[in-house]
Order: sequence, then structure tokens, then C-alpha cells
Amino acid sequence: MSASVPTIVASQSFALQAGTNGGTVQEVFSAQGQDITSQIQGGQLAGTLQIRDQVIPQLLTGLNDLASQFATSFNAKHTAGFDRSGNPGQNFFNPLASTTNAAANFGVAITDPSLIAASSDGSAGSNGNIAQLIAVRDQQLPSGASPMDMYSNLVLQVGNFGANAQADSNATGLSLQQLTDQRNAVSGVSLDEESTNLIRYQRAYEASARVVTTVDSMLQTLMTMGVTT
Amino acid sequence: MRVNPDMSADVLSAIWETQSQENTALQQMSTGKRVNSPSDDPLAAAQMVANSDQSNRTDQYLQNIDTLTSQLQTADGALSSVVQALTQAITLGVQGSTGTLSDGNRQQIVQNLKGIQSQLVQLANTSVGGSYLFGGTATTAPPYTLDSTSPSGVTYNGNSGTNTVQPADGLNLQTNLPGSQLFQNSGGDVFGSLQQLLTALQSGTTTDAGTATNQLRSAFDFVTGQRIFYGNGINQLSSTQTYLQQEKLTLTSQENNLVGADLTKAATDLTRAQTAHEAALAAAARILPTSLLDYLK
Repeated sequence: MSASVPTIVASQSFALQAGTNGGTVQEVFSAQGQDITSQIQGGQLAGTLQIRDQVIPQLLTGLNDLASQFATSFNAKHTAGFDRSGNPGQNFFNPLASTTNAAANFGVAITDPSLIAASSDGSAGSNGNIAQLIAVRDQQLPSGASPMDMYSNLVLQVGNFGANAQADSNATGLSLQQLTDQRNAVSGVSLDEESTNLIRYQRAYEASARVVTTVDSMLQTLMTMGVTT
Repeated sequence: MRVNPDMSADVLSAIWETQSQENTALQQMSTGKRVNSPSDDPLAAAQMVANSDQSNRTDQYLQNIDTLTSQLQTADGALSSVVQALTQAITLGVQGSTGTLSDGNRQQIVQNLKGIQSQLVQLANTSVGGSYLFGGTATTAPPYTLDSTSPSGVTYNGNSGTNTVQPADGLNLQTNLPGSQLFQNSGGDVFGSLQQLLTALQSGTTTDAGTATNQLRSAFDFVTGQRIFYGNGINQLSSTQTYLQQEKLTLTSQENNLVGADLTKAATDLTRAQTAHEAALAAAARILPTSLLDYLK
């Protein structure tokens, strides 16, 4: 564990900077140029970093797996058929070499409807391969689930992340509010209390002043007694 | 006990809370949906994926059924015309097989029969949207051409392939009969027996013509029998359509249960949140500025 990096010392503050550190994503640097991204453990910045570096990549992996596995399975069935001209079917979706960015690169490869490989025997009017293509919907992909189930799961995950974050935020907000209340109960300035004190001190002062006035008047009387008029 | 003398934070959070309740109720009422984003109810949102998939599929099935029904009806209509043409041909064959005809009359009958032959070829080449109905799965070219050198008088360019369509989940329906099975079947050969009749009238005996006419009759029976295939298909599609429309209603009501808003509840929530919001504002306005200082004159 490296030593923590001070951002505020006495009256001096050190601005943080953002920049890349050999990769493609932005990292946080201290004023001295040290990459301190992994040291940020709390606050809004840490939350944003956690979303970016852990939550979203996990969801993205799910989406990429779905895109690449579905495209591969569908292409396998499509290339087993024949198009309207009797030629073997081409890839229906752009072949995805790896799962990286698969969802972003997902797209239909053919542009001519007559290239749809509906035929199972090469004759133009056959639709035998269509049943095979439709069946991809209900078949298990390498992940062990059907495309629809994979997608439902993703929606469930995203929804859960959102709902959990909302619940956490509510709970934390409530305890923060209670703690603030407790702290303010001890350290807060009550106008009533201070006004009361103020009045008390004022009264005491007035009383003291009255004593002084009385003593003064007594002394004055005393002095007057010694003077013959 | 000393309490937090600064209530503004508590009051503010209470105002925000009631305002957010108002917004939620208002959103539910204006969209008619309880689940407006997956986080509102993750499980319902995930179930909605399957629901909307099935709903889209049902829409597509219904659309397919319309197309398919009109295709089957066209085919059935063509066969009905074939049956009519065959009735005419049989009448002509009966006339031709009586021995009392003059050569001129016989030629007349032959001409009429040739007209029927090309009409039958035309019917067998019926197409819908550029795709030929009786060519098996070879649908891009006319399946039949007249060919005087062939024993049947025609050449079949199609194949014997059949197509099966899924008009609903788990239901498979054969949608076509190839011409070779319809018009050149061993159980009743339309083109073969017609050509045989023509040959008999041109160069054969009246007995030959009678035999050929009898074969035309069995072709007539056969084609009439095959029409049941198309009638059955149309009936099956029609009942599937009714079933799918029912299914669509079920899916819509399921969607309503999953993500639809209970409008009565939303309206009540809105009123309650509104009252709470106004109360919080009114209380804050009365309490917040008041302190002992207000009473010290």
C-alpha cells in the first residue's frame, strides 16, 4: 500500500488531474503526476470509477457474449442453406472474430434479400432452412441458455443494479440524516438557547449595573453628608 | 432533551420525499405503466422481454397467415378452374367417342380440346407475386410448357419438393402440392389423358377415344379430391388465426399485469403525495422562521 497522497495541506490545495496511463481509459493523477485511481476508495469519484471499471464491463461482457454467440449460431445455420439463386448461404451476420466489442460490431452482413438462405435443397422456392433458422431462437447457445433467456438475464441484472443502488442510496441517505440530526443536536446553535442565555446575561449585567448605580448613589450620599451647605 | 435546533435539513428532505412520490404517481398515470425502467421492477422487466418477444411473434404469425391464406385460395381457385375445364373436356370426349361424327366436327372437337389443353397449362402456371404455385419448390420459372413431342403433351420443369410453414408455435402446415403430383399422378393423369384423347380423335378409333375419356374422368375425380388439401389448409389457417388473436389478448392482459399501472392506486397515491407535500410546505413556512427572538420586543 503506497502512502496516501495529500490533496489539501493547511491552506494549500493540490489539484487532481485526469489523463490516460498507457491505456484507453482516463485515470486520476495527483498533482505530482502519480496514478492514484486505485487509491480512491470513497465518494462520488470512487462510485463513478466503480461503475466504469466493474459494473459496466460485467454487463458489457454479457451483451458481447450474447451478440457473438447468437451471430455464430445463426450464421452456422444460414451457411448450411442455399440462397434464391441456389448458391450456398453466406454469413447472415457480420462474423465476429472475438467477443471484444461484439455487440458494437453486430450487424447484418448481406444487403440483398435474395441472399437469404431459406432453401434447404438449392431450389428457389424451398423454405426448408427457415425452420432451422427459427429454431436458433430456442436453442441453447454455448453459454447454456437460449438467446432470449440470455437477454432477459441481462435486463434483470441491469434492473437489479439500478434497484439495489436506489435502495442503498435511500438507506444511506436516511442514516446520514439521522447522524446529522444527532450531531446538530449536540453542536448546533439553538437561537432559543442562545437568546435565553443572552437575556440572562443581559439581566445579570443589568443587575450588576444596578448594584454599581446603587453603590455609586450611596457613596454620593455619603460624600454629600460630609459637606456643609 | 436537546434536539437538533436546525430543522431545515429534515424539512427539506421531507419536501423532496413527497415531491418524488408525486412524480412517481404522475409518471405512472401519464404513461399508464408501473415499470418505466428495469430498476422499477427488475423481475417484471425481465419477464416482459419474453412477453414482447411472443407478442411480436404472434403479430408476424398473423401476418403470415394472411399471405398464406391468399396463396392457398389462389391455388384452390386455379384447381376449381381446372375441374371446370376437365368437365368441358369430358363432354367433348363423350361427343368424340360416338361414331357418327363427321371429320369436320371431329376437327372442331380437336381444336376445342387443344384450347382446353393450353388453358390447363396456363392454370398449372398460376403464380402469386412472381412465384409459381405448382412447380414444387422450383418457383421462379413456369412449371409447364406445351410440348407436342411428349406423350403427355407437356413438359414439367418443376420438381417434387414441398414446403412446410409454421403458422403458429408447434404447428407445421404443408403449403403446396407439386404439379407432378396434381396433374400427372398415376391415380389420374390430367395432361396424359387429355393428350391421349387428342391422339385418339386425330388418328385413333372411337373405342380409343372412349378409353381416353374414361381416363379423363378419373383425372377429374383425382383433382377434385386434391382440392380437399387446400380446403383443409385454409380451414386450419382460419382456426389458427382465431387462436392467435385470442393469444394476443392474453399476452396484452399479461403485459398489463406485469408492467401496467393500477390507475386508481396511482391517482390515490398522487392525491396523498400532494396533500403531504402541501402540508410539509405549510409546516415549514410556519415553524422554520420562528424563534424566541420573534417574541422579544
